[in-house]
Amino acid sequence: MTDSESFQAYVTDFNKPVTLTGLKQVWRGRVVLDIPQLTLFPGCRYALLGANGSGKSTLMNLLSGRLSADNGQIGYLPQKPYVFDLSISNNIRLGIPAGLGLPESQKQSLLQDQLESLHLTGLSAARGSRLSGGEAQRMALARILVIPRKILFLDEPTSSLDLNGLAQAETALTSYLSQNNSLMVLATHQLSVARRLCDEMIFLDQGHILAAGPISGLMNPPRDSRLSLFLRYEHGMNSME
Amino acid sequence: MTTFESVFAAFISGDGELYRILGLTVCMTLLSTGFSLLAGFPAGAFMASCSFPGKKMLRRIISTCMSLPPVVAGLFVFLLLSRRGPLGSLQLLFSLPAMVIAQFLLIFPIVVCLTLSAIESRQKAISQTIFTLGLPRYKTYLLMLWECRYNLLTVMLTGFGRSLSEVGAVMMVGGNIQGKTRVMTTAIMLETNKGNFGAAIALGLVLLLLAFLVNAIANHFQEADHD
Repeated sequence: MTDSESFQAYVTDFNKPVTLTGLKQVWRGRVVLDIPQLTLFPGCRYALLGANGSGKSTLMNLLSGRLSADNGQIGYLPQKPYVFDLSISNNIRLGIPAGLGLPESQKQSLLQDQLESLHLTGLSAARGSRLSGGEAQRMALARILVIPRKILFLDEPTSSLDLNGLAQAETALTSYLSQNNSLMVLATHQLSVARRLCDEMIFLDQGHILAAGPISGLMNPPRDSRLSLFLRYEHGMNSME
Repeated sequence: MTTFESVFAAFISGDGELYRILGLTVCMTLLSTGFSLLAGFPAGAFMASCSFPGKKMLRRIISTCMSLPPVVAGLFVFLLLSRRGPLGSLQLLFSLPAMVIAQFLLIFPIVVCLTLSAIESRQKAISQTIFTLGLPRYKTYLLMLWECRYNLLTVMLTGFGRSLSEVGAVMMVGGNIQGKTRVMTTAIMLETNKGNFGAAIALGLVLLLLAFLVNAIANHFQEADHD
């Protein structure tokens, strides 16, 4: 399906590619994003790469705002998800749309699955305000993954996780994606995460797509290209961590 | 009750007159604060979460009303309820309802403005997540109010304090009638005018004690929630 510029697209058939046109954002007279056309294929996992301020979050915002579907089939995890001052269980439950009409037993079962998969069972009764940054990020991920969704937009979902948390999140995501064959767009600075979870990459620079293609392209970028510079810098930063 | 000691003796012995004044004070304060919160919380939440033409101007008007002098509010209600006024037939002047209406005019703008500010200060952080979760509108409001509950408790205490300490409007529309509309603040004023400063100070201390009790209860719940 294809949408018209600046209109919301209502997705009904998730087996067809989604094409969005005129993805443009101007802020105080400066173009922060300008992508004439973007096509996302069903089941594909895209890594959205780029330096800070390259337009990744703006693109994620636009994508999630322009696409809509019934009953939470499109999930968006923003870069700074809000953790409500409720128990972790109730925070995750907010991710189950009322429109699904699920019985309580099934909601409970979905909740338990997520608590276990992201190793949050011991924290299920803890209040949102008491969580560490990493725990909050795992909780926010669990809230998005609590129901099967056909499209996922994840904006730096693992940026605050330690190695242990990262492994848990990656395992949960991998299993979720293979079970639901979901399309995923993952904005990240962690190149190793992008390589492990994604099969396509989109490289943004100053609001434009400079490179796009299989994730294996990250291994041999054109010499002296912006992508090559970005990768060298990010490699350096990641190895320092 | 003409001296400091006599007021405390009346307070300890359960004197009918003093407790009638205290009871009416509590009743008026609860009613005026309660109605102001009932109307002010939703109005503030609505203004914080919706855009509509004239919102900025409305905000300025309500902010200005926060500074409404009590005697002006009293005068307005007096004219409204006086025999020749538009609502004169209700015969509410010099009664508890008149005092509650006058206090409502003073407290409602405070509740709306403080609720609006409390919600706006958190809205940016919360709204994106609420939007991405696709929650129904009523749940959005409930979550927003829940997240701002400590601020709203402060709003409640501010409204309560304003009501408890107010004297000008209450005097104008209540008339300080013994056994009918006399409340703590108007009783303090009366004793001061009579030169019974000791009694006035003692009544003031009783009023402060009442304020302390309400704040202590509210703070207890807040601290228990934090723990």
